[in-house]
Amino acid sequence: MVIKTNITEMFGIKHPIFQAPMGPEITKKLAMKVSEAGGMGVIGHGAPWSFPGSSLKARIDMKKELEYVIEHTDKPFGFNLRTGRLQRDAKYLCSDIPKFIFSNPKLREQCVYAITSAGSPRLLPQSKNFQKLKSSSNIKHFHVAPALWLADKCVASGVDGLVVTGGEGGGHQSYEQISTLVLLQQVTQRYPDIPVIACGGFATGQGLASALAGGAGAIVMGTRFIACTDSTFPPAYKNLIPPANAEDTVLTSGLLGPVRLWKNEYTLHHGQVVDKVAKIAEEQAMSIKEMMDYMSHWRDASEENLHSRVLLIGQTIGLINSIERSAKDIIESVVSEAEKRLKKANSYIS
Amino acid sequence: MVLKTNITEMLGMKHPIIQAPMGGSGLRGLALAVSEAGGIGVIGHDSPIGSEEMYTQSRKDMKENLLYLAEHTDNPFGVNIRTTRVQLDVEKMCSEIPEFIMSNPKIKEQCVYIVTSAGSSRVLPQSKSFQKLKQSGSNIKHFHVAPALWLADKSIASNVDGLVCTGSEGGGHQSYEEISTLVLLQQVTEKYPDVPLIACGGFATGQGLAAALSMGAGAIVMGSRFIASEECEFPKAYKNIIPPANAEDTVTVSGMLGPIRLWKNEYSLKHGYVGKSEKMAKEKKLTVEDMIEEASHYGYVTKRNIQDKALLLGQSAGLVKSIDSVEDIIEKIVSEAEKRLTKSSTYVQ
Repeated sequence: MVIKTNITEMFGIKHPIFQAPMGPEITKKLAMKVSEAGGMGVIGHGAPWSFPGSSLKARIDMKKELEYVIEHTDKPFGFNLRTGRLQRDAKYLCSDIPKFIFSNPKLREQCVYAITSAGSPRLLPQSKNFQKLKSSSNIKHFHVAPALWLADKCVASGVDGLVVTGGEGGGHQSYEQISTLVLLQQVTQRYPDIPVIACGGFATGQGLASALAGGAGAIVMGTRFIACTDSTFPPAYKNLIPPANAEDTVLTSGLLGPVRLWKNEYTLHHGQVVDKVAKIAEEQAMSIKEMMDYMSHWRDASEENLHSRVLLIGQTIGLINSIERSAKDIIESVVSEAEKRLKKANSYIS
Repeated sequence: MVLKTNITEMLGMKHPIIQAPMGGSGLRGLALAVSEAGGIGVIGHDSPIGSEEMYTQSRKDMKENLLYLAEHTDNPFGVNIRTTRVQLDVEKMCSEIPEFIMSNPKIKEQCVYIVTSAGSSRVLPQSKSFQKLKQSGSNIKHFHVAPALWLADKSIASNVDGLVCTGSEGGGHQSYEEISTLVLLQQVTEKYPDVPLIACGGFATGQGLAAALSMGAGAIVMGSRFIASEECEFPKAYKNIIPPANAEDTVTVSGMLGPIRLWKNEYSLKHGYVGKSEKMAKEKKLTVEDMIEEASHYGYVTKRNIQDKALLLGQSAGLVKSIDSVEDIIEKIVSEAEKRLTKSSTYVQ
């Protein structure tokens, strides 16, 4: 059995499950495995933001990762571009990456999902290269909306759909801190006909069933996929997940706004979330050296340095008890549990 | 059509919708309207912390409110007892209220739901008069509010009949864990697949009800949605903030009984949030004057003092666009949920 929704139909995927793009780790293998298993694998946007020279490298890396996926699978997949203020090369990425996809017939066939986030939803639709690609392929553009007013902006930009993401999710968050449940109700009430993918707090079949009943056509999972055999995250990073509780994360002030992290010595002594105005002023006053120092906490987690690392993780860590399962196994069990739940809930109608 | 779940069957109500107990003067008018409309209305526990006279008065009020419901409806209803450390009359409450229910055959018949919260899940089951009530043929069920998995574990160990799982997007009293309703429901349904479960925090639409039932809950609780009803006794000024509010217009601050989600105004934004250990240390140092000052912000709300009051409100305020009758609210949510459940079941192929 399968679950067929507006989103699975739109993208030609078997299961309504997307993998969250999760930079700065390299997730090309995970993306490929998720796509192979019938979900939607997504290539993350590696470079956090552009230091001199890092921008070109990030684009080269992303192209290599896109090529890697089509070399290993014939299934559909996607990629993420961050369009935040600090991403000074965002405009260039929005032009260069669509051009690259256009130039390769196999890529053009399979790369069907472009997701922008953490900034303007307009940048990609405004790119001439993206318009050209769209007119000759099945690619759809979704933008991440963590609050209703941001969903409004996305819809005004003519996106093909929304990824609504609640405050319980791992990694980058918004100042609004709306829960997935509330946000999903808000968006499906205001935009009943817009394709919606739900993100933040999902890791089980119960979660998938609830998202579909709430009006979404698919879910995104991040933390659940970090903790699988196909993920190439450092072992120390993965190992912290099974013993953790849902309350072991904290929302801190990251470089790109609020970010949900694993509670450790670093995050507990790092800034807690302050208001947006103060935070933006703080960001603007940061020197390159301070940024580099901050970024040094983001990579290469190991058993020894785990408490000084920035480890992006969602509240779903409390739902995950093993790192021994493959992406395929996870996807299939989530879908099969969701099927049971949807049938059961439907039987309540009498 | 109706939605028949383990909870509607257990409590004998028509619709899987329960009203959140919300301080005030017990909100018996609202509770009555909810029960009459086929949900479960719940008499709230008034009197936060106070003198012996205040406690005596609050038990008297609660009994009168229960009597009022039994006199005005034949449908089932419930009652909330807060069992927190600072509620000094908690044992008396847990003993006197069941005794009172037992003494009146009509209340005994209709009062089927007793929900304890904000403290120990053991005080009520340990009460002899509650045991007596349960064994006397009453259909009363004891649920406890669990805002985190470890608190669900404790409730189960206390032999509750079911759990109210409440996520941090909800209004009013919250926990330091700040787990969302979505994550908490998945946790509890994974660990306790057979325990009757009521979902709370963030619900105000048919989509929400459909989502909760699909996850394994048997009913939802709504607070903010019912504050914005014609029948709710809350002051007009309080109700009127809801329709124009956005979901992001609430904030969790440190209240007298731990974290509390409030409407963003001058008071709540100034109040701030501190963690559990810091908060407990602070509580110990509180003087009576401090407590009276703090309590003064929980008084009657008017248009004039609205920036200076603690207005308990959940994120679902962003989903409520008008003040409606309780019956309309419930009917609309159930009928939307039925559509959603019918639709999502067609996805399975």
